[in-house]
Amino acid sequence: MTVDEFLSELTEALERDEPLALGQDLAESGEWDSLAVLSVVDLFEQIGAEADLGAIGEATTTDDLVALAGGALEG
Amino acid sequence: MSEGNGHALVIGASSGIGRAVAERLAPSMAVTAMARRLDRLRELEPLGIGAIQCDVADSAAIAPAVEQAVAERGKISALIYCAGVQKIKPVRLMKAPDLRELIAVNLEAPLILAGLFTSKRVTTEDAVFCAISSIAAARPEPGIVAYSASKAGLEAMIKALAREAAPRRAVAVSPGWLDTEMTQSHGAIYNEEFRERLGKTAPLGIATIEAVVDMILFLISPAARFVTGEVVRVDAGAAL
Repeated sequence: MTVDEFLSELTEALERDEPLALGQDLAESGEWDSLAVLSVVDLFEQIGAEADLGAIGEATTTDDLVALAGGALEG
Repeated sequence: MSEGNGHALVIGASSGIGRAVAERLAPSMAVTAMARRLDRLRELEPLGIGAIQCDVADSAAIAPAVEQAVAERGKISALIYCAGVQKIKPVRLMKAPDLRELIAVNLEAPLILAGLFTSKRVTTEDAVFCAISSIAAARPEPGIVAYSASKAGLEAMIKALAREAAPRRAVAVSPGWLDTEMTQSHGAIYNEEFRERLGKTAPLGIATIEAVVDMILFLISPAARFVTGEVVRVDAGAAL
């Protein structure tokens, strides 16, 4: 999965009206709460990325999530 | 194995509570262990425990497996249902196959077994149906809507079964969070931080599989002969 595909999946998982982009604040234009974090945990499981609830919950930007997804993403 | 003391059928016996119950009961009564993974059950055979492969998500497989258990070890005096599926995600993200599997294992299979349990061809008159529920039935959390609903349904089933199946009894144990294979499969959520927080907030810390098994053994024993339709919480006070 590429970073762009990941951001697209993330947009869907978080039900954002506008596509998420790199460098974006997760609390911007949408909620970044415990359910949103669980949605990202589910996405990580689907793509085979390893990161726990605490690490995902501490992310503040899309860049943080891309970094956590790490080896599961191409490039 | 002591068949004179009755026959316990433990479903979901390949790991966790089910396996521990089967191991504890084996010295005192005939035990049949049932689960999807026969290789795991084979490990119990040196204890004299019978092993029957059955995936309870396949509803058609349940009755033949129970009939086999009765044919091999006699009528069932304790049916202990420990199989369970947990999926943690916002209910918006639960797909239909996820929901079907969860309901099939957590609710449909116990209902099928309840029907078999009430048959005099399958169980003794003093038989006990003991199901493993969860505090999620009464104290649900975000991310486990379907799981909580299935366990609430299971608890309602136990109460209704207690009325319909008498003099047979129906009871349930409702554990709090336990360190089992099922919860370990959600390592991203039930991480060390979660365990530390729960250990500090619950009055008695984190309950153990052994404590849950102790309660099951009490509930299926003659000491609990006037206890039916009850759901007993074993959660170290976490739900308080």
